Amino acid sequence: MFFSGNLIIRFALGLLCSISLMAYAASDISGVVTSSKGREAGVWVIAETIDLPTKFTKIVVTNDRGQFLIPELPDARYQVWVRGYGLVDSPKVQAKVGSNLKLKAVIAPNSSAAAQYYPGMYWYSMLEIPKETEFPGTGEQGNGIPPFMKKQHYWIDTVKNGCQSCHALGSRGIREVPEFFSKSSNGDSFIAWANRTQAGQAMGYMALVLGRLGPDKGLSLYADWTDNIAKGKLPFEKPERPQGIERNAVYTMWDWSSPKHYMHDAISTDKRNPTLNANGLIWGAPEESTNLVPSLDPIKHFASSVQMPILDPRTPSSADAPHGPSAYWGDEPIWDGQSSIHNLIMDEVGRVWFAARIRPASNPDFCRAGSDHPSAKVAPLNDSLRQISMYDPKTKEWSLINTCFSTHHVYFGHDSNNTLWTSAGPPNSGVVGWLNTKKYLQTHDEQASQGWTPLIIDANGNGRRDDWVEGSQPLDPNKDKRVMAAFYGIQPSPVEDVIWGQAMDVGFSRVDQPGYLVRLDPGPDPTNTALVEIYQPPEGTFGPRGLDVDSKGIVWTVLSSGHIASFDRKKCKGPLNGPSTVDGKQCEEGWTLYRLPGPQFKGVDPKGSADGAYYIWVDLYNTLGLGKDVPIASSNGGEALIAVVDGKLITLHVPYPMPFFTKNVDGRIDDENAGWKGRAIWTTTGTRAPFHSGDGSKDMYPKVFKVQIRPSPLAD
Amino acid sequence: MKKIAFIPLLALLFTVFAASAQSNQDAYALASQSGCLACHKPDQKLIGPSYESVATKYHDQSDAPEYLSNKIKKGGAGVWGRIPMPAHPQLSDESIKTLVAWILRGAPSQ
Repeated sequence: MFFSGNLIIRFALGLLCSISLMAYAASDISGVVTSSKGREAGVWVIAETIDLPTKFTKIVVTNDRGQFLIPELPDARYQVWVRGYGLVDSPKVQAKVGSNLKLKAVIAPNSSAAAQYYPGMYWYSMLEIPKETEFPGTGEQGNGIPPFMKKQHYWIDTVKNGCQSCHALGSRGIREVPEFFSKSSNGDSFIAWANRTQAGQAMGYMALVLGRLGPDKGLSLYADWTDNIAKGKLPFEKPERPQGIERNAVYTMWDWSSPKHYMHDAISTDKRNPTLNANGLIWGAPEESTNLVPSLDPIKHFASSVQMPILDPRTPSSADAPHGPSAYWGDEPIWDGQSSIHNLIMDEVGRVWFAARIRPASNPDFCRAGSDHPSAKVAPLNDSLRQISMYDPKTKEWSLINTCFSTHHVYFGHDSNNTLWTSAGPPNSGVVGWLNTKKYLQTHDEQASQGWTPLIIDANGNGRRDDWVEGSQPLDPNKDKRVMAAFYGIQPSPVEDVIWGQAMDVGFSRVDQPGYLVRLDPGPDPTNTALVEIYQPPEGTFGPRGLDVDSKGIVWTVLSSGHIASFDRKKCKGPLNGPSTVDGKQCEEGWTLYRLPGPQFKGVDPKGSADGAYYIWVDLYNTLGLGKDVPIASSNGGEALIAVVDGKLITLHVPYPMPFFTKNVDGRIDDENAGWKGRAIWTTTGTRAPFHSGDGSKDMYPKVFKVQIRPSPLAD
Repeated sequence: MKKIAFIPLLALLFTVFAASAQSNQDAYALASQSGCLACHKPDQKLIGPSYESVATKYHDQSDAPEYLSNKIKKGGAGVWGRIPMPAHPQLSDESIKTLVAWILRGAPSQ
């Protein structure tokens, strides 16, 4: 006797309840999934319709008895099918809302068929990484690795933060070389890879990354990788099906923008107040692909766009970028963006602020040496790659704000000036810039409303900013020291008056210095008083990218060594200023590491992972439902959002369309009284090439994703 | 008298030098805007050969301008290694002429 009578009654009641829900809820599709092996637990059920103004898809996971319930479906005709590890896609069945379905899952006939559904990292981990002993490289006449690649981690950081940050490496469209290239190269896969990396309008950037790897070495290894796959070699590990709370996820998605375009980021609300813009439009950042800023109305299922203007018609356009022929688009230059909108944020009344290009790079005189602008006197700037634009959805008007500093990510501070803090991306500018948006909105004086500061370490340890030596100069006991870095990720702390940033490692920066977390204390006059502390990730790890700060002031980042990491400055024991801190090696005790799931590259330290994550976001207000302060990493290799809950990782793998590849997240509460239904996190397709998807090609739109966690896999 | 003749000569040389520097700067900017510098550097091999080595290889070849113009326009492979250079149909004949002349001068930035 395994169950007491009481338990049996409770179980029966629960079953009746769930059957009742599945059978009668008017906006659901429910049912059970079985295969030749019986009930299938932890597999995905996908419902998709084209009956609405834009394509709409919803995905849930089966419970441990193979049951599913897809909640809150708009009235439409759906195609419904099953996808899962160990399976191949089931035949699609037609269904209406209210249906109760008996879906037949199809067991994969062999390992190869099953592996087609694995996240990209399971394939990417088959890429050979040169051994530690091959570094530093001996150059073109030696091992083909350039001498500036001094350590193995330089290489790994490059294939992640140079390659994987834009492309879903390991996804079908990349692990298989299109016939277009294999034919034109007469079957020479090295040449095929040379040609495919020249395809499209990112050719220049691809060349830059290949140059870092050593073009012959890099192309050879990628060619060997796809050759092995073409010969039938399969991943050496298998992913696990969703477990526990991972089965409570509901993924909803809508098409937006155009198959020729791609998104970098999306925004739904004010990070400081996630009830703002409840049920309102989601906005996107299409980076180099177009000036058309997409929007989605998730209530009416309607996608639209608005054109961002530019200040100067001479602003460079991606349409003019050199490009080789594409296997998908031929000679057509599919991108025509001038505005290069990288990132966006919503303010306290719903205006949307963008890191965007409004003019050519050369700065106006007020930014340069000789200007009387307070910041130019301290750190004159000759170039800016992106500036700021702002769109007010209420008035439908744009503002173009000519900043001297470059922008990359933008986040609001918690101060009364609503200061918009900006990162610069690459380290070259060596400054952190900001816009006093309160002043700007009152005066429209862009010069007086902006400022910037170089990154100065209190190297002499006297607690204040003094004259400094440059980063390349030796220490001077009477001076501070500049670090020639800039922020990539940036986040004003919600608990103290400091700005946290993160500088990229060598694979992205192409500067021979490590990646850092950077704490910037602005002081009363940031241009002249700001001081920074820098912190390297602990020994054996590397490559921070993106960061966020939780409500306790703990900083979260992701590392290209294959980790999620937190840094708690309160744990630091040693001095945090003075000459011993200029390398950022202090306070290893402040770090906590969480290995990203999945395989590691063969021959590489197994404490890390082949997965790479683009960014991390902290759910300060429990908008997802996994708890307050939960960090959520954008796992590009795992094709998932990965949350850290009570020290354990929760993997929210989005299985369709492959590959789920995202670069930012934000969370919104639409209705505080509606339980799980009233809250969600939002993101968008971030790969530059949605057409590489194994689930489509030139018909593959970027998508808006809404992710929710319900109390159980069958909750309605 | 000699001094009087020397001054215009200096002025002429300065004008020629300034024009040449401007021409080099314009060509460098054109190369940069056209994406050439993603694969080539003036003084070191990157994806493709350095411009200095191209200048050295072809400086005595009379048909070099035509040959290199054709390479830029239509692409090519095999002369400097296995990695092919893509075609650049978007570049005008005039731009290609400017670039080739600059490359054969060793691609100076000033």
